[in-house]
Amino acid sequence: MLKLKTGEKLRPKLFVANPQIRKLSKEMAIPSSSAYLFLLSFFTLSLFLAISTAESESELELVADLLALQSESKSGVIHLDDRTIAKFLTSPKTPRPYSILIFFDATQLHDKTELHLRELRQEFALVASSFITNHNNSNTKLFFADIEFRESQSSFHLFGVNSLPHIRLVGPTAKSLKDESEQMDQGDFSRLAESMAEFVESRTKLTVGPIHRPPILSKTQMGLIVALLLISSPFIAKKIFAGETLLHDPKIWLSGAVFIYFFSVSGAMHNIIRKMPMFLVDRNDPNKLIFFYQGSGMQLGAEGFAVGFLYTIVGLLLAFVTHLLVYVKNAKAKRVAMVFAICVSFWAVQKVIFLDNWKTGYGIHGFWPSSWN
Amino acid sequence: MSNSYTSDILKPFKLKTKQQELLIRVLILCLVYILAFITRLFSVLRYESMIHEFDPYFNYRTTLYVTQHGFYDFWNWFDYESWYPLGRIVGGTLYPGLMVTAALIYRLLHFLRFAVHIREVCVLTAPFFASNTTLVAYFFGKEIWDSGAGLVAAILIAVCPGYISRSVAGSYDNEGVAIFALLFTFYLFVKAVNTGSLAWGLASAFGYFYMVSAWGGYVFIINLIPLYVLVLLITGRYSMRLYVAYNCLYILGMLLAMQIRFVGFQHVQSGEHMAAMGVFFLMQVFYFLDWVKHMLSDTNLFQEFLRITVTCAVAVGGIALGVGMASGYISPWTGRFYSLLDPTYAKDHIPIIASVSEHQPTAWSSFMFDFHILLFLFPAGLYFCFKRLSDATIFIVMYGLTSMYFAGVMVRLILVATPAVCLISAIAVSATVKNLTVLLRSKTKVAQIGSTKGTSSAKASSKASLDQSQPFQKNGAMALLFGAFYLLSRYATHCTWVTSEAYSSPSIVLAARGAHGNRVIFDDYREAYFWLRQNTPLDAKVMSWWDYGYQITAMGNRTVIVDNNTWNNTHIATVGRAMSSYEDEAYEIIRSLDVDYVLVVFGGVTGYSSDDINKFLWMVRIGGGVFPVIKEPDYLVNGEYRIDKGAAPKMLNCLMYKLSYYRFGEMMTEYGKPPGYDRARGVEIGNKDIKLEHLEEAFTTSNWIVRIYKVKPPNNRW
Repeated sequence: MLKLKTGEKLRPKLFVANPQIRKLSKEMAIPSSSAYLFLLSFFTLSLFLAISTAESESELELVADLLALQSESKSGVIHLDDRTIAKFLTSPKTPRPYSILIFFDATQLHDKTELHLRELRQEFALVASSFITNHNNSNTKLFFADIEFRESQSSFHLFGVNSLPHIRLVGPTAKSLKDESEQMDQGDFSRLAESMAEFVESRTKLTVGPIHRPPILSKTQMGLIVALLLISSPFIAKKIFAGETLLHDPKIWLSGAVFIYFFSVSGAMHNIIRKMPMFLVDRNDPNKLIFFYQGSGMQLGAEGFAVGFLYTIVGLLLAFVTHLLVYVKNAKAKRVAMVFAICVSFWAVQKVIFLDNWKTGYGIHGFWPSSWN
Repeated sequence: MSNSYTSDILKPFKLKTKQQELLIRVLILCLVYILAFITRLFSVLRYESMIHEFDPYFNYRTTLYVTQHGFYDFWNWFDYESWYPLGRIVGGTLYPGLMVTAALIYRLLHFLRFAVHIREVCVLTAPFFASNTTLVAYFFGKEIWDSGAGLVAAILIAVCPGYISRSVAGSYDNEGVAIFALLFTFYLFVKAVNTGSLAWGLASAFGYFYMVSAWGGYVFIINLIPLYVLVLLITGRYSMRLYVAYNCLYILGMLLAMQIRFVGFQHVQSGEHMAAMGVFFLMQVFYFLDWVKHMLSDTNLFQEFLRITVTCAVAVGGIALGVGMASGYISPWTGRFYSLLDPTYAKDHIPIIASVSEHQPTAWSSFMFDFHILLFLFPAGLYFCFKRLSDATIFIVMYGLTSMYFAGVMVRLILVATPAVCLISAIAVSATVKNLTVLLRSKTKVAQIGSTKGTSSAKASSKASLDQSQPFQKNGAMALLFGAFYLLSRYATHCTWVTSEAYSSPSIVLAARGAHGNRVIFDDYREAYFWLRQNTPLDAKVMSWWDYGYQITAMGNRTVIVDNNTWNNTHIATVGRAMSSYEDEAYEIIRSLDVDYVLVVFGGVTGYSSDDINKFLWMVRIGGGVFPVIKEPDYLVNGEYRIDKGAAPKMLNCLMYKLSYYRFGEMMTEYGKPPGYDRARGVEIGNKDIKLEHLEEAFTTSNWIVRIYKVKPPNNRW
């Protein structure tokens, strides 16, 4: 029932449609124990080496190194690994002259769309590049970095990161990377770059400034489109004056109308507003995909389109039977088409009603006099 | 022999075919009229004659005021009981159509010496207007297609769940009369366009006036009609008829609409109404051009003139709009309007709009639930309309498509789309059935006019011209006809079931199935409101989430801080902040608002899921929107909303949590579960030892659904 009141059952997250935070330990191959030991020893060794060398380096040199690394990368995100983490974070004495915001990345999880890793990584790069341009490359208080899981597993351990997506801010005073650095909450990157920037501003007291998003169309594309328009404009003008544009063809209007209908009833708007994925992966069995979501008021992308398609096809078949089929001369073909149309319509209607009952959990029945039972 | 004898007697009464047809048609319409009314009485049968839900309580309260104090007092009423301490100017902030209508019906009944209570009138207003809508749908269908389509449309709309959802008995809301007004205005306008008569144009202006007085959805009319006119102009269908109809509607309708205080000068100032004005001026340009063309004989000269005038007109219009916008004379679009055009707008910018449950986007199952087979028929109907394009069918197609789009954006707008869907589907049904029966009859040649087989619609139009003259396969026609009837009967079953089971619940009295399949009624809301009415001082102020504001004022007769008329975001955010703060901080806010009682709704005992804990994140979000000290992540654990032991500490100690779960830890709710097991969320609560410092429990209803707390005076005073 509809009512004017606050909607219940709010899903807490706006952006991540169905946030399945994957436990890395389950998903990722754990290195065999010997390799693990070796890694560990290598890590301690490198740590030791790093400490001994770091003392000789002054803070200024570190900052200069960071700046150099920053200018090397296109977006301004410094790529860190175990060695550089040790160099810039673990070995220098606190307070360090800079904070580092680290994005924890894992290439093998990029294809898991529900984690939005790739998207978040891009947004992160956007914050970084905006921050750098807004400060004219001269800010040395905050650096943006990312770590890849495969190549720097020990750093992941160092930070105690076992689930993704994960973004962490290491402040100048943080001694223990695991406990004293601050993790960015889900809510903070739910609104992408803007909310990340807010997080940074609230924790570091630095201003990030406006986010510079790249325009949707690059300059060359724009030029191309303008050129195309210019070339085609005389032809279009000619057509319009001749009165034979597509606008004068009812068939175009009809297909447009049917499309709008399809768009509405398939719940496409719902998918856009709620950013629903096309399908979900079954939590219990990752090989299985869920296409239909049980529960009214929610739907997945593919399911809406499937049902919308069924709606449309029945309606169009009806129109086809009554308006086009009658022009077919051959009686047999007519009969076959009729039977086909009836069967398809019957199947589609039955399917939709079955799905609807299943989805909403209602068992619809008539109200017959009780004496009939 | 006896046969001929009866026919002899009946001879004077024997009707001609035309008369028979008319009789049957009128009979069917009467039956549909009654059907539309009685199908909406399920709610009265299943519960009792009472006002439903939230907004209707405000409408009821104001209607009561009209009948007791008269129209002018109502018009100037300053309501100090809501939005304490701000109050509300009622006359200037509501659409009075519904209340005035109900009051008039009440007066009329009393004049006729029917001593009914005003509540009964209010309860039955919506079904009564739904019945009237079926009549309008019949005439509308007749206007755009034929009388057969009209009859089918009347039948379809009589039971269509999309409409029933807002017009069951007791649902005393603006939409109840507004859909009637909407369809009536459209009908009159189409009639005016078809006939070009000033009388119909005048009637449509008055229809529009009624619509404006009844519902904010009139904005849809004032944008759809100009759009329609524009499409006609573009497709070269400009005519004098259109000119007369539109100008009459616009000028008179505008003047009349400005008499409603809530609309007032918005009609000429707000951006939402500018399309209508632009089209109005465009019409004048067209008329002028027509006149010039008539005067000029030289076509070349005219072409030149045309070019110059159109360019100038567009330029002047653009400049006027720009100046108006820049100088602030024309207000920009409101958030609600934006959220229709750009659906993601509300979610990002206005949580208060996004939070309302009926503003959620529509999933396919809701369409199915509300339209059932009409969805399948709609594309076919579109096709039929395109096959026979006329001014009227263009209108219904545009109405159908725009409203369908809006219905996809917001669940509640399915209501607006319903009449259009019914009409277009009716065209599909009627045209199909007509084609089929005509083919059947022409083959068999046994014209059994009075037989009970054919549908009414088929009979009504049996002699009408054929859409298709090609003979069909008889068997195919039979099969299709049978299929169509089967579908329609499924539709009737579906609608009846939905009306009875899903749309008749008043939501102020809750029903559930008990362990033995028997019905259990929870009447906690009214229990709580009557407690408030009888046990609290007359000037007590009650704080609750805004959902319950109207009900508290209407039934409890006490002053509330916020209510369902969500006009002041800051005030609501203050309440949201109080609910989501720690008790001592909340106490400061509560004291500053001069609150005496705090009311929360809690479903943990009964498993009632739309309680305040489930709405709580919206309170946090709306509160946080104005007061950044409230941060949503503080209430979540890893982005998850929890209330059990793993919940966020802020969550476990905020006022709302404490008030909801006070003493709940001692309670056994379900066998085999630990005490303090929340049945609505299916978990054991995380904070069982709740101590209240500044508030004390005053009253908890029998099923714990409503809990009322008294605010203690400050410590050092008494």
